[in-house]
Amino acid sequence: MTCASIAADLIDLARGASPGPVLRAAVERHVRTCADCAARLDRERALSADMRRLAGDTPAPCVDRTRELELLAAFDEAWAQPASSRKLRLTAGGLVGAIAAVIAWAVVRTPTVVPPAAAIPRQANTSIVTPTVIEVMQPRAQKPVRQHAASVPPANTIDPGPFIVWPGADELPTFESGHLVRVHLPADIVESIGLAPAVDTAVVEADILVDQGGFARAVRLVP
Amino acid sequence: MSATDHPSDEDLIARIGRGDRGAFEALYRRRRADVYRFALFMSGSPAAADDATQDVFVELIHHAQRFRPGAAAAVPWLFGIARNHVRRQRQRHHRSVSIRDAQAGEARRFVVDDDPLAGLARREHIAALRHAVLDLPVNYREAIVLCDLHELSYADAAVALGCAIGTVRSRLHRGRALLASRLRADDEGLYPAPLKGTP
Repeated sequence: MTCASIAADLIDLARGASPGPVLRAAVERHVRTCADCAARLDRERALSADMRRLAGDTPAPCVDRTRELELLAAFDEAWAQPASSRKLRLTAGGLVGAIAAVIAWAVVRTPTVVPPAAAIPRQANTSIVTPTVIEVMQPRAQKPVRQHAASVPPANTIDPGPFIVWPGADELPTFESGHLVRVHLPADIVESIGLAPAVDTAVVEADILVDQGGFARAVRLVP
Repeated sequence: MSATDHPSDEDLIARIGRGDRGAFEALYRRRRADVYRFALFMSGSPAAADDATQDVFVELIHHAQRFRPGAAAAVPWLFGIARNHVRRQRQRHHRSVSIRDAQAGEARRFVVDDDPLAGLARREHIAALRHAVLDLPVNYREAIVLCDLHELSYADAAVALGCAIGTVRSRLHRGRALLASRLRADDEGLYPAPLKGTP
């Protein structure tokens, strides 16, 4: 056993992180016969002691009841959401991102304002009915997304259901403007968001409100 | 005292994942200071540490279910979250306000010693050590802060840093060697001289 070969174990020994009984005994045996390593062990122990003092000397955070209350409010808000929404947010983040990306792609491809949804022929075999895009602008007075989504003018000839905030949309930047995009979604995703399709089907048609950044903000079923 | 009276961190996180507000409050009060101190040493700024601490617990609200009790202990897991937030802060701001002077001031105000000269020397020595820790490269500092200041095991530190145990050990040892070399000018002979082959 050489001085160089035990250098790392010497530090572990000084820190109280035992390298194991056999190795520890070997290191201690070496240290008893090597003045350099004995001195080094002492210095490493001094450094460890100083580190403990530094840890004890580091101030604790100020007790800030306001920040604690903010956190508790955030907790309450998070758990006030429907369980299905939380579940989707926790387990299907990737899926949500992928859908948002596809929607953003569709919006980029179709940047113009088009007539209301009812006037558009539906394409049953495509996941996104790209022509159905309605321009939506946020008024200067900032409003929560939920209120804004509900204010989207309904189509002339249909009576769509209420908008539901898209999972995770609450954490996005302020809504400024966006589009409605008509898509086909798997029914189980729609149900997990909190919407209930009227008929028992594997795929349902929905309008998704897409914001200025291409992110989904809210969704409603198309009757 | 029963486990119900004093639930483990892991139990509390599991309950938070089921919407237990009391568990969240308990874990916050129990671990806030640990998370703050870690963030303070990693950011160098009390304000940034405060923000990072808040961010860690906000993330806990939304992602408590991601915690796997068998795979990691709670504290390293929380430190891992804090580390990510501090790194993001660093990327956003590229600079931080030093805690050195502020903390030296705190120490001067609140510490009373029987032997003022010895106390002064000790405080200056600890201040120099803090200074040296904050000046370490991030990878070494993380290992030093987790293993030496928070006394995490190599395995727990590896969880927090998302790397191998051997990497943690190596970074810690190199970090200590760097610390020693930087402090040697102030405290001649007190800290270890590097062996051949160490930085």
